[in-house]
Amino acid sequence: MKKISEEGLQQELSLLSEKLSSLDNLIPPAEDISPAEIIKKLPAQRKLKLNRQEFFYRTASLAAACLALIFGIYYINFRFRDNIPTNEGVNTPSVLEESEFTSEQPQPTESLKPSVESEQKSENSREPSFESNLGSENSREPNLSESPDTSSKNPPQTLPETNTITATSYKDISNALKSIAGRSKEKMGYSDYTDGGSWLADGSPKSNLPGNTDHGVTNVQVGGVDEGDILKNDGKYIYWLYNDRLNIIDAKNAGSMKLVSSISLKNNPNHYNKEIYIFKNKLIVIATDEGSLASYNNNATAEFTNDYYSLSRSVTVTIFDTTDKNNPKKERTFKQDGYYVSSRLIGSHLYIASVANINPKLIDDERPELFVPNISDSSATGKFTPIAAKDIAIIPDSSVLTYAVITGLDISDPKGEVNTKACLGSGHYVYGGTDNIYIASEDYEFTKGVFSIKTNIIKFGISGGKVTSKATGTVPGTIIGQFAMDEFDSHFRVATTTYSSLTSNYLNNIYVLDKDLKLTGSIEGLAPGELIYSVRFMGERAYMITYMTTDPLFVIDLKDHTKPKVLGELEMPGFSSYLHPYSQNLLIGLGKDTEEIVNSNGTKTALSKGLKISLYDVSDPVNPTEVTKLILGNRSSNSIALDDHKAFFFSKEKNIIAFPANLANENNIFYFSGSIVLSLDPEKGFTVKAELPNHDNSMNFSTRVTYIGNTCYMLYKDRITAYSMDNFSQISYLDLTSPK
Amino acid sequence: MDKKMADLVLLAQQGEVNAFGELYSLFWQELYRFSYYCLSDRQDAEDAVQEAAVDAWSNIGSLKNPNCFKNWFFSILSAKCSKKIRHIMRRRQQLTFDELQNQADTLSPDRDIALSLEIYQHILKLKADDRMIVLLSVVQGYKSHEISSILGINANTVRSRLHRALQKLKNHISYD
Repeated sequence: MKKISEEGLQQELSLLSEKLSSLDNLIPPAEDISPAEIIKKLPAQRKLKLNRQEFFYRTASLAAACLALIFGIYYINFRFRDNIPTNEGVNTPSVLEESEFTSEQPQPTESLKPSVESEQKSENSREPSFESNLGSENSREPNLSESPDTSSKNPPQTLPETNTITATSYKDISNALKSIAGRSKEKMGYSDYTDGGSWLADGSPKSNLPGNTDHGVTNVQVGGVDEGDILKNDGKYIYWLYNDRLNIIDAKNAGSMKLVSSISLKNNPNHYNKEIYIFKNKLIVIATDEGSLASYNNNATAEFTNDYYSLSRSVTVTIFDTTDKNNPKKERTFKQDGYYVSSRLIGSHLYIASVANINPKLIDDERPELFVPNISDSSATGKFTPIAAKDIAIIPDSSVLTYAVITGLDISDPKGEVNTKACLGSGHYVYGGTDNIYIASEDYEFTKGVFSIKTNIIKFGISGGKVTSKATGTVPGTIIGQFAMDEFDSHFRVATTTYSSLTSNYLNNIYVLDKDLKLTGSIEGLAPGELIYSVRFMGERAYMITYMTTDPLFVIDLKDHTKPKVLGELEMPGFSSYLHPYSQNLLIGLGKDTEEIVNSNGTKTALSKGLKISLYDVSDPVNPTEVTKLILGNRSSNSIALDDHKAFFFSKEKNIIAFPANLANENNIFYFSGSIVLSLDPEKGFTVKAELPNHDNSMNFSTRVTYIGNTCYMLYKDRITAYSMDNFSQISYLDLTSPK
Repeated sequence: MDKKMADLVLLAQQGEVNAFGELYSLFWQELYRFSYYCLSDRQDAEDAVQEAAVDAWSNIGSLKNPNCFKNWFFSILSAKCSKKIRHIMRRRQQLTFDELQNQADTLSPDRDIALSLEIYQHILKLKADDRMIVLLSVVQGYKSHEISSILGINANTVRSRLHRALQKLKNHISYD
């Protein structure tokens, strides 16, 4: 069995290094950081006492190892086997099952039982039983090395089972964390987290919310489930989040747009405003802050190490009342620990997902706020409080010391309670359906020379602002983002890419899981050697584009949950990064055109060419075709919409497709930066209706297109420009930087 | 060289700022180069290096193994760059690409530089952490286990992410 070898990587790296080093002479010389200058800038007195605040969240200490996890499974299963809590609404079917490991270690049960009972009595005080727990941990240690390894035991087809166990006390949690932390020798990656938000989004656009034909709306994945964005439009006002300012523009009269309010949202340098939502007279701003909610003082037991990171984040949700657009009033501020993953708004119910780190050195049974996520709510005490133990579920085989945290709240009820649940696990991507939210995260394992990646999934039920932990599951491989996931007919479908160390190749797969996230069917090993570039699930079908140098489009039938199958395949040059349904049998794909070339050594690579927009016909699933396509620009041409579905605008009613584009010619000289507007006639193809340039000729960022009535609006940085949808002549523009 | 560095670290830990200055001078250009590739802006790159230097100086007492000084410094710098990438994406100082572009315009259309620009552009499109893993490998020549200790990530995670990032980059360039 081969792991990803150092030598193979080095070969690829040396070529890349060669290419990149030609840029060295373009680096401008540094003037102010020469050694002589730097010495002047060093503080006179070196702090002899290190600042604890700076070193607290050593997420680099996140520890995991298979052995530790297996131990965790033993430990927790034995402790809680007789002690399954019932949570209203919690549907954790696997809780009562014994894992396959418990039967092998009967002996420790006896020593643990007494401590389980004594813990029941007092939640937060230090108990003598804790010491004996440690003792029993150590006595079991020699057995752990012989413990079976889950990953090598299970062939790909059988997914390992995961259990969730809801804690009854903070002690349960602290013990679980300590057992995970105490066993690991290697650190797990904290930096698998990416902040959620439009400019780091991964998936592709979503279909418009149904029922809106008079104004543009955010391109969302699931109808009825809104997603946060930098632009919102209610048909009269346009709400634009840019540069940490919230701008509300009265756009009813295209000829004379008015900036009715512009609020600075930058509370402090580390406060980043990500996205907004609107709902009736409410406006929600989602932001991230550095540091966790609990403030640490010198009583904490952290130690300093060589690894330096300040890695904790919290999410701040601010709700404004916008009844008076000139004067939005801050109504509520809610915060929760963790890196922001994503959020969803269904009606007036907002759900926020984050991932909170745990510093294993701060697990202190008497102070749960140090090792469980905290929340704070201006409608409650406003002070931070740790989530209750009963709202926290533990996944025994979680290999990261983090929590996935979800809060539900009703934005139309300023004094209503929030509902927060957490699960010991992680999260990078969110699929928000109408009844459930799925949080997926990557998990790495390295056991006995085999390196494997899997995706863990946590399912939370959502209803009326309430959140319940439902199930956890895991599938092999990694996912590209939210569009790789889908819920249909109570089943969860996910497309992943795995890496086979046997063949040193990528493989692509689709797994179908039931409502308890147990595997019902799968199809594996598609397009060996290629990576998934885009996926779109549409009911009983899935469309998947994989790519290495050419681009197969797969049409997959998912009607039978136990037997997914490939119906047809289309191979063509280029790839689509985003697939958007145009109709039942027609899909739009946005991506790039490429040319496959064969190198002198026989290997194939692809020459990147222009942006490509395609129309695929899948009415005959066995023979999908690319009906028409349009290529824009050449070589380095790119579009934010390839990675951010919210930058893709589509309105069937108005026959408008719009997306930002930077276009370069074959000599790699950029000649256009702005938004492209197309129309589509399935018979005749795509037509460019307008090229709307960025007013300052800069490359694209923070750009959106929307419409109200017959006026199209382009928002780019701090300018909104109105165009007539008849001929796209410019009507007017408004600069948003003028002070009020 | 290592002995010298170790001695200097010990001196610096006792408060000798000149010793720190000498340590810094051993690889400050590497710091700047790495920072510049991460952030593609001179001012930001300088700020990141300066902030990292101040932090390194303030916390040098916590460095247990003097031989790790350089990697430890890069660890601090990586954290600064990571933070700055977020700042930059907010401010969008992407115009540096235009600066590179303009310089390319004044030269004859040199295929290598055009190619490199394209690769670089794609590197900049990688997520912050992947970008740093790639740049630490490509610009600094660090091996996976070194990157692992610099960034605080499992070495196999580093290899896997590097592999995937390179696969993506490979698709956007052609070789002759």
